Formats: sequence, C-alpha cells, structure tokens
Amino acid sequence: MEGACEMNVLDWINRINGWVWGFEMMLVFLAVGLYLSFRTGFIQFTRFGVILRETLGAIRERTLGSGGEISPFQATMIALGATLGSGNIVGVTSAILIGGPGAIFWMWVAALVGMATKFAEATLAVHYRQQFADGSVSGGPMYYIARGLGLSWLGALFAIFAAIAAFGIGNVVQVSALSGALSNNLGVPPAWTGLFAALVVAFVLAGGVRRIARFAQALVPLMIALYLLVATAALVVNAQNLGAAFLSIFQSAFNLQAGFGGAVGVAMIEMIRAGVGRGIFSNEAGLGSAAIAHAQAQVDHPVRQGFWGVVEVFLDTIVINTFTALVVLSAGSWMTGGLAFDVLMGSFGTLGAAKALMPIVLSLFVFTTLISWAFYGEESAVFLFGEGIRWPYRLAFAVLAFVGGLGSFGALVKVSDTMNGLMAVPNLIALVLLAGVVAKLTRGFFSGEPWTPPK
Amino acid sequence: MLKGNLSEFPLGTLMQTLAAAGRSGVLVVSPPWTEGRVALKDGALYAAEIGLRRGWAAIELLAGLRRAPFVFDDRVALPAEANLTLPLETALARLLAVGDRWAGLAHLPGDWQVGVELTRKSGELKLTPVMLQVLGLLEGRSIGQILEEAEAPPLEVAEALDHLLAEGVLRLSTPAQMQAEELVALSFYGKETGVAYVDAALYAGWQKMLPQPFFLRVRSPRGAEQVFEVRPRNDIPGRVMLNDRDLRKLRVARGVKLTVQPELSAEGS
Repeated sequence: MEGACEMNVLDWINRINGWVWGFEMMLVFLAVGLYLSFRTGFIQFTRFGVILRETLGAIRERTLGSGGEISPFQATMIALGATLGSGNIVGVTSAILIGGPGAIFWMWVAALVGMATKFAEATLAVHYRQQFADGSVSGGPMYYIARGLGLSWLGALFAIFAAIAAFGIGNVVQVSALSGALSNNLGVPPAWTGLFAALVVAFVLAGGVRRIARFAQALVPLMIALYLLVATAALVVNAQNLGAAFLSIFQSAFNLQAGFGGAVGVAMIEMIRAGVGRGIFSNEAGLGSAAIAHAQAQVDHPVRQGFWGVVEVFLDTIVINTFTALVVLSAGSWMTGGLAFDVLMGSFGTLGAAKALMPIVLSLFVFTTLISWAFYGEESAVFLFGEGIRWPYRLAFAVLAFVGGLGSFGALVKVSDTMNGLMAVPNLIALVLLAGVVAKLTRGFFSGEPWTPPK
Repeated sequence: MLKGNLSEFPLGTLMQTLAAAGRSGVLVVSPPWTEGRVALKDGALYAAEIGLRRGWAAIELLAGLRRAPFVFDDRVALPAEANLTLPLETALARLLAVGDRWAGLAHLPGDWQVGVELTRKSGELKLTPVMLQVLGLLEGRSIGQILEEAEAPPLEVAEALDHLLAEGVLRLSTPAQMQAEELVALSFYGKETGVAYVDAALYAGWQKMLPQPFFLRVRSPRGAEQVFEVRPRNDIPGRVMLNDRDLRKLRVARGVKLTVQPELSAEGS
C-alpha cells in the first residue's frame, strides 16, 4: 500500500516534471522573453553597445553607491556560478546529438530572447529589493512578486520551490557528479569528496554574501578562462574544420533533413526543441534564480544591473556554449553518436592537457554552482522563515553536501528538478505583470532620471 | 529681542523701523566670516563696526550684505564712545542711497567669502587709484577681506571690484580651502548634456562654501577639460555622473578617475 502511494507521488512528480520542462513550457519561456523584448524596445539589440560598455567595459570599477553589499560584477559572478555547469558542456553536446548542428542556431535564438528575460529579472530584483537597517539587502523573485504585485503567497510559493530545488539540483546533483568524476578519473573515495565539499560549503557560507561574492569573483572568471583555454586549444587542433562547423550550424538550421550524424534525419521540430531547450535552460533566464544574486548589487539604478543580466546570458550561452558546440562540431565525433560525455571527451581528442584539465574545470563548475545555489536556497528560506533560519539552513546544506558524495538520491533529485522547473511559473507570471515597471525604469534610465525605490 | 535675516530685511529698512520706534540697543549682523555691530541710541545711529571698518564706513559695508542673520538686543550695553554723529534723517537718507548703489553692482557676488584673481585678458583699461588699491590686495584675500582692508570707502572699493569683474580683468575664484577632488566617472543617458551630477552630500558641502550658481570643471587624465553645470543626485558617493556623450567628448569611459574642481564661472564650458 505504502509502495503504491509512493509510486503515485513519484508518478505525479514525473508528470509535473515532464510538463515544467516540456516543449509547451519552452514556448511560454520564449513568449515571455519576446514580450519583454517588445516592452523594453528590444534592448538586447538596440542598446547592446551600451550594455557592453556599462558591464564588461566597466569591469575594473569598484562598487557603486546605493544599497547592496557586493559589486555588480560580483553579483553577476554568483549568478554565473549557478548557471554555468555541465549543461554548458555535456548539455550542448546532447543538443547537437539530438538536433544536429542546426540546434545551435536555435539555441542562439532562444538565448537572444532570454537576454530580455534576464534583464527584466535583474532590474526588478534591484528595484523591489528589501533594504535593512544594517545596510544589507534581500531580493529576488519572491520579493518582486510580494512587493511589486502584492501577492505574498505567490512569492512564498517561489521561495518554497527555490529552497527545495537548492538541496537537489544545487547540492546533491553537483556533489554526486563531482565525486563520480573524481572517483573514476583520480580514484578519490566519494566520502572524501563529500567531506571536502561540505567543509568548503560551510566555510564559504559562514562568511555571508560578501565571502560568497569573493569566492565567486575569484573562481568563476578562472573557470571560464580555463574552459575557454581548453576549448580554444581543441579548436586550434581542428582549425581546418572550423569554417565548415560554422557553416553547418546555419545550413542545417532550416534544413528539415539535417540531423543526427547527417545520416539519420530528425524532424525540424526536434532540432528546434533541442536547441531552444538548451538556449533557455542553460542560462536559467525565466527561472528567476539569478535574480536573487543580482538583487545584492550596489548600483545607483536597477537598469544598470539589468545590463549584467544580459551579459550573463551572453557569456553563458552565446560565448561558452558556442565554444563547446564548435569543439564538438569541428571534431566531427558527434556524427558517430554515443553518450554525450563520451562524444565530448572524444571531441577533445588527442589533447592530453585538455583531458587532464577537464576534471578540474568540471570541479570548478560544480563548486561554484554549489555555493551559488546554497545562497539562493538560504535567501529563499529567510524569506519564508526569517533571519533565524540562516544557520540551520547552512548546516543542513553542508550536511547534505557530504551525504551527496555517497549516493545518487534519485527521488530527491527528481523532486528538486521539478521544483526548479516550477520556479518559472510564479516568476514568469510576475515578469509579465511587471513588464510595465521594467519598461518605465528602462525609459527613465535612458532619459537620465534618477531611480526612486518603491516605498 | 529682534531676529531675522538681511535677505528679508535689508539694513536700510531695518534701521528705518528701529529709528521710528526710537529703540536703543545693539544690532549684531553675522555673515559667515565675521561679525558686524550697529548701536542705536533713542532711534539714532550711535556707533558701528565690522572688521577693521568703523563708523560710516562700517554702515556702508554692512549695507552691502545681501544675506546674513541679525539680532537686535536692547539689553546689550552701548559702546562707550560714539563714532556716528550724522543727524538721523540724513543718515537714513544716505543709507538708502548707499543701498541703491550696492544694488547696482551686477557683477559682485553676494557671497564675499570667494576670492578674485586676475584673468589673462589683454587690452587697455584706465585704472583709478581705488582699482590699484584693489589689485594690490588680491593675493590670498576674499572679497570680504578686500572690502574691509582697503583704504578707500567700502562702496568705492566694491564699485572698483565690480567694474574690474565686468571688464573681465578679474574673475571670481573658489576659496583656497576648496581642493580639487578625484571622482570616478559614471555615465547617464538622455538629452541632458553639459550637466554633471555629484553625490548630494558633496554638493551640500560645496553649496555652503560657494555662492550660487557654481560650476564644475572636469579634467580627464589626458588633460581634456570642460566646465559643467553641477547638480546633486542621491547615492553616488565618489562619483561624478556625466552624460555618455560628454564622456565621449572628454575621451574617457565610465570608471575613469576624473579631477573635478568647483568654479564660480562657466568659462571654458
């Protein structure tokens, strides 16, 4: 009886999971992104030069004034720490295996739309953040839902989804992947990996958002640089195929027969589905998670942080995912099919250094994801239960990181994955309803008006 | 006790009121850099002093103040010796005439804490002895100090200063204690060019030290400079916010350290 009940619950979770990560939901993501693009005058295209100047062009700057505890760059690095993961490497390879090279074109299209979504998230996160007497701030979708729409229950729902998702996809999944990789490649016992992960998590979280920011600021650029270095080396080896690889992306994007291996055709819908899915879920635009980090930035105007949201998607999907895609496509090993990870490693081919560096890169990806999601979960729990929950949450997160190294926790992972997908529901509703606020803030910024925080 | 500000009650009007009431006491006028006193006995002007000026010269100088808080106290003892002997009606008539002459000085600022300095303008100008006196006193002195220390009557000194300022021989200079500052460039967008925003707290500090309006000279590390209208904005400490187009004119980007110096004229803008 108990087993049957459990079966039913898991069955329901599977159904919801299929729905929140399904094709129809992808279309909702795209529709919201397009709507936000329209409301902001397609800011990701029309103001791209300004966005680059205001973000990467101003990277050497220290903090700005106004509320917030960390610099806009640090906030973005926390957000990128969470979004960059195996999806940018293995996930992109999967998309190519399923949809062929054309999937990458549709991934770009989805990312370009997602830039507006992330812009809106980061802008609203700063606009509606809660400022406390000690100078600290808290923000994210739960706050812009509660303060902007006056729907505290919907904000709480988002926070519940985020707090639970953090334990699974932000913790167990990551540590499990790391312990597996270290055990297989270097023979490190999973218990040691779990213990190390737990200690790192506990140490970083104990320092609050400032230490998390310093951690992300140091590690995320390092891992991006390291990965791009490895990928560039692989591209140099296959430089003669690079032009053809690029061409194949555009040629097969609208080719109904282009697909797996060029031999077995797949329907265009599968290609779009694979590409758009990667373009949406790789950068998490629409899920609302990154907004929790962006809310912490010290900026004089929310739109300035919104620019970092655009750059976050740009770096994640347009830069890093494209590098992965070009490595895979130029190597040609994807044409023979197989498991995504094997195809990926095959694409790096004879590059001994690349093969040696990949576990390090993956470890960095895991640790930054772990820390960023711990912060997201903690902030969500604080929204629900108040400041008193911080330390119990941190402790629970560290303990689970240790345990995560020892097993796979299939049910927990499934539940948290579903919760992660469900985060999008309240967030996308809020983004649509608050699109007018985003548009007004954007107009105000480009008219030179100062920002007036809501009371 | 009577309290107020010369910006609301000019000295001439105030004296007329006190004289008509036949009051005795001491009027203390307190501009930021000094203190002046006018004693009245039974409504008549009895004695006056401000800085080095005594008697009618002090009255003349006090009449030029456009704003300064004052207190009239009839319990304060009068000075032992009188230094004003003019009949009341003559004194009041002269005071009103003096007020009119002060009002005609269009180039002399209301704030006498600022200094004046020679410009590089070339040309010919006939200098009067009072102008020569003024030029001899320029170094390190504020307008208030020049008006106090010159030998000629204050109003003549003021007229000489006004004329030299009008001819462009002199220009206003910021107080010596006002140092150039380094602020980090921050951009804003929109149609509003030629405007620099600084943090509201910094602006308030400058406002206390400078007469309005004042301007901001912004210098890039490569030496390009421009003078901007300056305005306050909240929550941008350590920053000077310029329109993106102005930043490009200065050939700098956001995040670059700029040297800024408040100025009293918009020359070079």
